[in-house]
Amino acid sequence: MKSKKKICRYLLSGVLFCVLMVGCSSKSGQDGTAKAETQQDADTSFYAERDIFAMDTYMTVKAYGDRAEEAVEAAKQEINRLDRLLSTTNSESEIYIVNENGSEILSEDTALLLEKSLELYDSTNGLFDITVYPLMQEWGFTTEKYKVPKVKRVKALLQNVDASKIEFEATKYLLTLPEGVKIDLGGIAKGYTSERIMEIFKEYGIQSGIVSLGGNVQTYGLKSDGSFWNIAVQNPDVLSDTAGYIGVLKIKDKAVITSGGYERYFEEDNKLYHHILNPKTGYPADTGLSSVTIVSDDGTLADGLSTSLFIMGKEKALKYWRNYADLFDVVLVENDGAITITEGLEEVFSSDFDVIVAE
Amino acid sequence: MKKDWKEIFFILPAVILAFGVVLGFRLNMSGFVPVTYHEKEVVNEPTKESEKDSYSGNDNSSDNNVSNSDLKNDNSKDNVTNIKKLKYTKEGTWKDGTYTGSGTGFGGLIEVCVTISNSEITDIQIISCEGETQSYLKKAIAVIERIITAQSPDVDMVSGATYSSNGICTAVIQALNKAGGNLKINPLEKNAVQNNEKKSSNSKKKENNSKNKKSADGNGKPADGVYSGSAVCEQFGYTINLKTRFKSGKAVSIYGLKITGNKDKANKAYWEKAWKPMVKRILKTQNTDVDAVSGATYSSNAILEAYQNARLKAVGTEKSKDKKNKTDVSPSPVILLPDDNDNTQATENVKDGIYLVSAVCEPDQRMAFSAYTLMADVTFEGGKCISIDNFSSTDESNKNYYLKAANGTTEVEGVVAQILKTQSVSGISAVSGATCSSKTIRELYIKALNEAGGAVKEDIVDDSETSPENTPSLPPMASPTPGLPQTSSLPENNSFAASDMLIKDGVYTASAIVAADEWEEFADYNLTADVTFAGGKLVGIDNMVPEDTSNQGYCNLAANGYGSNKGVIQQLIDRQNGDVDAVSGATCSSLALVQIYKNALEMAMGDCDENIYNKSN
Repeated sequence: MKSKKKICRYLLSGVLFCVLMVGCSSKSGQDGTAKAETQQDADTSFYAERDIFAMDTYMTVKAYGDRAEEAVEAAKQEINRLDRLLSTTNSESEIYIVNENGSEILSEDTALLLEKSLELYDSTNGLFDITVYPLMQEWGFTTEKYKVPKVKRVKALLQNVDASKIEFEATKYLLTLPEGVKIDLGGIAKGYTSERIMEIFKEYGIQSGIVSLGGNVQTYGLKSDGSFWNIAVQNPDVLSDTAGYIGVLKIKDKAVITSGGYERYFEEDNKLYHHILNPKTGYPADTGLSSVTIVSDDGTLADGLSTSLFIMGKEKALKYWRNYADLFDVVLVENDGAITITEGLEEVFSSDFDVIVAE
Repeated sequence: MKKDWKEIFFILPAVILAFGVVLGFRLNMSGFVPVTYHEKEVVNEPTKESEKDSYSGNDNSSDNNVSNSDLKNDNSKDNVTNIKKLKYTKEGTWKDGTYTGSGTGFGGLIEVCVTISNSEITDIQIISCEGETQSYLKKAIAVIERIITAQSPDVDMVSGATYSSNGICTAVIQALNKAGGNLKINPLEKNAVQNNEKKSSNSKKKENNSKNKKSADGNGKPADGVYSGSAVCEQFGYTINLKTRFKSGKAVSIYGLKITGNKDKANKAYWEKAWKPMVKRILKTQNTDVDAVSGATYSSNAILEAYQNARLKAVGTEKSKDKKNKTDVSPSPVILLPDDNDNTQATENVKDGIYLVSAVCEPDQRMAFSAYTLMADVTFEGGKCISIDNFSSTDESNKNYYLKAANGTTEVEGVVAQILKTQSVSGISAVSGATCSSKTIRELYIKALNEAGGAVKEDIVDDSETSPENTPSLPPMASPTPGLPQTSSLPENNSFAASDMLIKDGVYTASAIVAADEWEEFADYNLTADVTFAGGKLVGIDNMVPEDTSNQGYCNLAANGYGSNKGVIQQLIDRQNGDVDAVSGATCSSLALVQIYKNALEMAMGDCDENIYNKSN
């Protein structure tokens, strides 16, 4: 409800801004002849964009502002820095080292992410669990050498899947993992990264910016024309004949992060296995949802919750949302295509499909 | 293991779809176009159906054409929504009529035709979609339905999609722009419109070329030497530039592919696809009567025309030899641009017209960008330069800089304004923070002036780019504004080892075989790239063209690196030797790039600048 009010406020300011922009653009439009030199008015914002391959995915960073070029370059550096820090495969990363050695003094970023992870672990009753990594490896989701592990093997590995076993001395930033426990912060790393880019945008006085980190979208400010960003939500039924997306969110200053079984999966004996493992069972979560989209100011939270709520299933996910409705909103897509959105999105989500609004 | 990154999101059972995705991956990511409306009205251009088929022996575009009835068949879905439809911020109305637009799909360019009636989008037809898979087309059709329902194509990003079907939206937006609609615009989008308009000026240029054709008819024997040629790809507005070496009256190598004036990164796939087969065929047949490349008809024709253009120069006289591509690299935040060309000041002899010129903007040592070609239209009227506009470049990441240089800042007058005011190249101040671009713009003006006949000393600027052996002549440094740091980094002043000085500056096209090692599952393929040496140093490797384009992703990965894996190109530039680390996940491509560097170095140090097509055939 709170967020609904906020959105009304956004809309109002958006309208005002639009009116201002119209005034400007019609003025400049009259003498907008084909001379390049007449186009760069004093209020002109510059645009820059980078495509980056990092964290095992493609990323796009776009910014408008006088220092857009510097900002996207800084964003690229930051992405690469965090990738180096958080990678599970780079032998110089803190995560790799702690997984190998069992303990490590973390840098500030990693420590912050670890704390967030542990908070999420508590609030999701253990469904967000960074220690599920050995199971991900066993299923082959980390290497793409997919296989359905033996039941015994899953049970054995589950013994070590429990983030509550992690010891973290917050004052010393000292992380200690028990024997057999391995962690992967990949579940929130991209969300944290996009959030960091928003901070960079702020530092560089960017007016308007957007990032897509492998489909994790976060926006900064309004669009350069003063309107809201239109962020579509991917249709999880990727092989369907319908449009690529189930609907469009009109937002500003929000992260929109979608998780679904359609992103990474394999088939064995005519059965599909996707990559979102339930840390309680060791098997892909099968709760009737095909995708979960979190809309939040907090990219890290949105990233972490998108997988957690997917594992919860619709009813539990909505229950969880009711407890934290001031922090995020959510779009749930069920296997049969039914779409449920939470209240806060009622005014901002448009779709060609039937949509149920949860309160 | 090494292919993991590519397929990590889509393990699709259907091989065709997977192929389409892999192909489209790169295109789509690079094809992101800011989705914004502009207020400028563009005259509806008729589609050039007649030109389409001029070389289209193998053109498969018709195979994939989607007829209107196909679209209509899918239009049965009639979902009702209990959510209010978005109100799009459209102001004004579209003019009734049909309009065409193009964008990048998974497989390449998609052209659409949008029908506006009663100011509403009533129909969208896909008129061409080369290389698209059926599944993409189905999605595209669904997107079209949505656009018609929403009366707007406006989506900025898709959450949860590693890549999305932005191409169709881009195409529709382009068409709608032509329909007017008086929509709000981001100032930068105006430039895109201007690039569209460049076609017209390019055409003028082309007429000049065809005049040449008559005077120096193509049947003559080409003189030995290296000649550059260029041709405009009319349909998409970019210019193909290439170099051809003639020996004993025969074309022995064609290399140095450079694209200028390209406004859509997606076009890259086309010329890349067309380049190598065309070069092979031209060299083989020695005449220009070759088939176009299937799926890349337009670019093939342009390559052909560019070659013809080079040949005409070889057949004709030294008069048509290339203008020099002079580079100056002296850096300093604010400097007076070197006043080395007084003789190029405007004279009465200047022929009016629009001159399309290009010059290489090279980084100095402090600048962290790679050399790129800047292009602009320089217009002379009444013997005076009245405008320098329609800027475009081979690397639009530099757009901010060259626009800043052209237009200036609140404190400093732009170079364009200064030139127009003084009608001279002397006393022009570089725009701080865009020094290199400032110089390049000044260079453009000089070139245009030369072309317009205003230059006196042709020999200064003549006959230089025709061969990569030529070291760019550098203008003397002007005294920098006091108080500002000066870094004098003229290539000649660099303290390189003596052996390095043997490297002849220029752009060398080299290739190497990407050989699969024992763990790899791909077939060996040939990788070609342009290696640029300046100041006796490697400054960049670009225009990477893998024989098998599905490997482009690996090549890019190897070239640019990711995460902690530093790209091979940067390592080569840093170390100036072949001792570099391979990029994990793209080891084979990394090794090939190093080999390309070594091959190019050999060309640059030896007297052999013949290109690889020659050797490999």
